[in-house]
Amino acid sequence: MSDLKIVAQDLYGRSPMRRLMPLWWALGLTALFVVSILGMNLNIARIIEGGDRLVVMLGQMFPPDFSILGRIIGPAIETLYVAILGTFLGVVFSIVIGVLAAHNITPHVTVEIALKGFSAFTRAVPALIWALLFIVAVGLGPLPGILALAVNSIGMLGKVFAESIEEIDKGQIEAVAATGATPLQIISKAIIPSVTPALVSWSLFRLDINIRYSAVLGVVGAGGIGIELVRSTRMLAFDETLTITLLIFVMVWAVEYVNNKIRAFIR
Amino acid sequence: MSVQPILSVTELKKTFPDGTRALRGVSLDVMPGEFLVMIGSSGAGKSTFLRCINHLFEPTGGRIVYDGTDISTISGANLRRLRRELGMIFQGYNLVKRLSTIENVLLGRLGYMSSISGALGLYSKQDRERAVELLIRVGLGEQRFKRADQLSGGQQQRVGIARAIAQNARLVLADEPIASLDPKASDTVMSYLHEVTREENITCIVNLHQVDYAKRFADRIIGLKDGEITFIGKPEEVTDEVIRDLYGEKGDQVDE
Repeated sequence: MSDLKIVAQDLYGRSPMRRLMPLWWALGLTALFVVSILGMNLNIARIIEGGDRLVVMLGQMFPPDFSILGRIIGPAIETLYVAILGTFLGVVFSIVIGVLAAHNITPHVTVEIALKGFSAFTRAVPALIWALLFIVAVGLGPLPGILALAVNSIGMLGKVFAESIEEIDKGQIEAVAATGATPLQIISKAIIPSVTPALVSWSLFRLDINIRYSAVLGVVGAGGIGIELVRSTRMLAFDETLTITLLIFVMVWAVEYVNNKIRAFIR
Repeated sequence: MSVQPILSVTELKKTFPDGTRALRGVSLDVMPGEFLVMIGSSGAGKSTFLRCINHLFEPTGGRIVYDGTDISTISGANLRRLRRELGMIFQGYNLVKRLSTIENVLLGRLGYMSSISGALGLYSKQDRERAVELLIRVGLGEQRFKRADQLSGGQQQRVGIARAIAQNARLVLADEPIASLDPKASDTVMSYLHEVTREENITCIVNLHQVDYAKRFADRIIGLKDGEITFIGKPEEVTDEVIRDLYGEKGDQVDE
């Protein structure tokens, strides 16, 4: 046999320090957790006391008061409308932004940078803040809700649409360009067909998110069922709160169900 | 009376931004109706040559004259008008995979339509009839409503041929059309390409790896090595020595 000397590094391929990486991570995260708790002055007694109140509240929730359904069904449908319109507007603008910002087909790199920056900004500002801003601009009601969801959706969809376009096999674009097609024809005949599954899938996912947001936006007065939720808790009518929560749950679940059906259909 | 070449290339040069000199001055006249095959190992510049003609790559030097017009620096609407007369067939087929077979053939008509009606896919009845007729000719009439990604490689390349012909192309540039196909599919594709371009009197430049196919179909064979033409001649003039020179000392026809 050879006189080759086998050291630990030959067996593990990494230095001992590197091998213990998972341990360092675990220690670091634990430290972060402890520091956060200490920093907040969390008081165990208060948590237990709060637990007692929670039990009382849960007791008052049952049985849920379904008599209010007739009254809240209108605002619930408004919540759906806000989500659908907000998503629709968001999708339309995001397609334009995605096409112009995708690195492989952007008219100019400065356009790409500007639009990617813009969508990063609309993404960074939460939907709730957008709603507050639009309430100031256009007044209370569903309109600021729709605008807030549209703008916030652009942040996410503009980015993922651009990325989907960047992943297209470049040969397809080249081939259509080689037939003498105009840029608009290339977008419509090579790019859009190729990204359709991603486009539909992401848009439906965003609709899902927007339904949830839309319910919350009502809390600040941007239309829909949220305001009913706030009113019931203020009046300590927790049996109504539960009914409204259940209704929101049914809406979210129904949209998710339909989404999954559509997504399975489009491949 | 002498016939004008349909394509006349003089001292064509292409240097890529990374410094690769893919073409070092290629001059070539292509006569109308010719079936020209370019052979040479990978990296010899065959693909770059074709892509410079329809400006998928911008040449860095030299002159290209197509049908009497200098197209060396053509761009914009003029380039699109040129491209619709130049059909291109790709090694990777490059069909739009999520469109149907017939839709892919119809893409060849985009250059003749207004930007909007093309984008909306408002193809005329005649265009559709022609597309079906072309698909029948390449043996895919039955498959016309199948999605392109459901076809085999050989079938996809036949759609690629139909797309190029649908352009009413006068010159077809075929870049390694059979490099990804098995021998049987290669035979079918090359036969269809040869047959259809002969019947429609379309000039054709084909890049090939396989010397045997080149000898079988070509009117003339061009040998390209390191960005320069080292051989021009009839198929029967391609001797073992020529092949050795093009593909290296060992005389393998296939690279790698």
